[in-house]
Amino acid sequence: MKDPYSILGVSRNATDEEIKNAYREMARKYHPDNYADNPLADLAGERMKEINEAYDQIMNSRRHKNAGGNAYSGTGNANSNFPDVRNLVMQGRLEEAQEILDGVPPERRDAEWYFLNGSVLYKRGWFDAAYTSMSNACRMDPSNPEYRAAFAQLQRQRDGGFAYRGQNGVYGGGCNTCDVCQSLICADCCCECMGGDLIPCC
Amino acid sequence: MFGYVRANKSQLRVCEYEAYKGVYCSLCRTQGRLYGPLTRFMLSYDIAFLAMLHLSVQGGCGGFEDKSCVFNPLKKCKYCKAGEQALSYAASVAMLLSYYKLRDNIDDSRRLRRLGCKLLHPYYNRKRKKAARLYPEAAKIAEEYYENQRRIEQTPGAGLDAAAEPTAKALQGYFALCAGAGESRPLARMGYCIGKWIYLLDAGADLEKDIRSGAFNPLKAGLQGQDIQSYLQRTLVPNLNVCVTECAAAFELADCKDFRPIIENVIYLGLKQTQTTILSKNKEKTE
Repeated sequence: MKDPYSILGVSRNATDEEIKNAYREMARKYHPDNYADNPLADLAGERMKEINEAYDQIMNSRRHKNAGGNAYSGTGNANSNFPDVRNLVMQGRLEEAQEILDGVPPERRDAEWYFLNGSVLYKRGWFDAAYTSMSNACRMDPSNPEYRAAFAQLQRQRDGGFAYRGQNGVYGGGCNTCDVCQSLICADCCCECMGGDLIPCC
Repeated sequence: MFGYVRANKSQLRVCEYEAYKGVYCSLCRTQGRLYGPLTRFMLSYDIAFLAMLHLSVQGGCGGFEDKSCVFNPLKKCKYCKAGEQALSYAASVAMLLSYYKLRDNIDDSRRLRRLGCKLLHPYYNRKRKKAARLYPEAAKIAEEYYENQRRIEQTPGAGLDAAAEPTAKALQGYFALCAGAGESRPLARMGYCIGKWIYLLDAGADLEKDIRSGAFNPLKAGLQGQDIQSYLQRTLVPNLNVCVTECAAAFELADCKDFRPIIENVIYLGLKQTQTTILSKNKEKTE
């Protein structure tokens, strides 16, 4: 396995707190929920596994309590009307899944049909049609948590939310001119209290 | 390509901006060398992004050196010391797409413009053949794009996804080719999302014009007399947003090394900025 410290992007001298923060950042980025209906979910899963193993290895070797990884439970298969479609979708065989779905007569298209149809469309990149299908699924079965979660994720993306903003400070924090001015004025006041004067004109 | 895929310049560091310009200048030089100086106008930031992606994944830029501009000898430009493979690939894609754009114009335009395009055709065709010899896969992608696009435009009731599919699939192919021997799926997904985004944004920008001229536009079907601006906000913008977020998710799984901050800027900041600018330009025109 690659060096666990380089996987998390921390130095060997990092504190436990720094390692935990780095792990949280990466887990937030590659969490399975961000790739729920994504055809690249398996790659994200591999990264997540790598990150979890790296974190465990570091923490174990530092003899701390093992925080463990995030357990991800897959979508419910127990009482499905379309177990063959669900299997095909999990294997990434999208065309075959779509064919089976398209073959279902309109009167048999229940909430689960619309949900699976939406999932397949989303994986294929047909985001608009996926949204229509998913919203039908939720309308027909409002209490189903699986459909609601998928629909909520899609809604978040339609509103422009990124799962992860880049590491560059400009995307999240950083400071603007107001912060700079504020800080300077504060510094000037403190300076004057001590008998000096940082900014003569203030 | 329309130059929609570009960085948010004000959020680039100076060294990053210099590198960004450097890739563009290097591309300009390579385009001129391969296909003649007159083809330089075919370049756009979108093509520069493609070159940068290729260099990012497969490496090979080798740093920049200062030399005089091929266009204006009094100006100094930064050029990549190496990276010809990426640059000639992107230049060839530009050539291929321009050829099929010309074919499109010949098919769709009226007399005078059509005549002008027909006169240019032999010149463009020669260049296209050269590009096809160098990059047969890229040539096949461009040809399929042209045929699929024409086919979908004969279907007035086509939905947004179906109409955007040819462009999405074309860029999916072009981005995947940047992977070389490595994992191509994240790049393919990025390309698909960006292609779709470009097509839909352009459809939004041209909606009014297409209503007047009767040209194909997948957004026409759902409009039904509503106010265009609020219709676009409700129908188009959410789809553009999903394309951008999906592209970002795919990017995080791609193996981008060089130029990473610039590519991050394009995806996380640049695309949204262009989206807002283009759609609000629309708004100003109607007010």
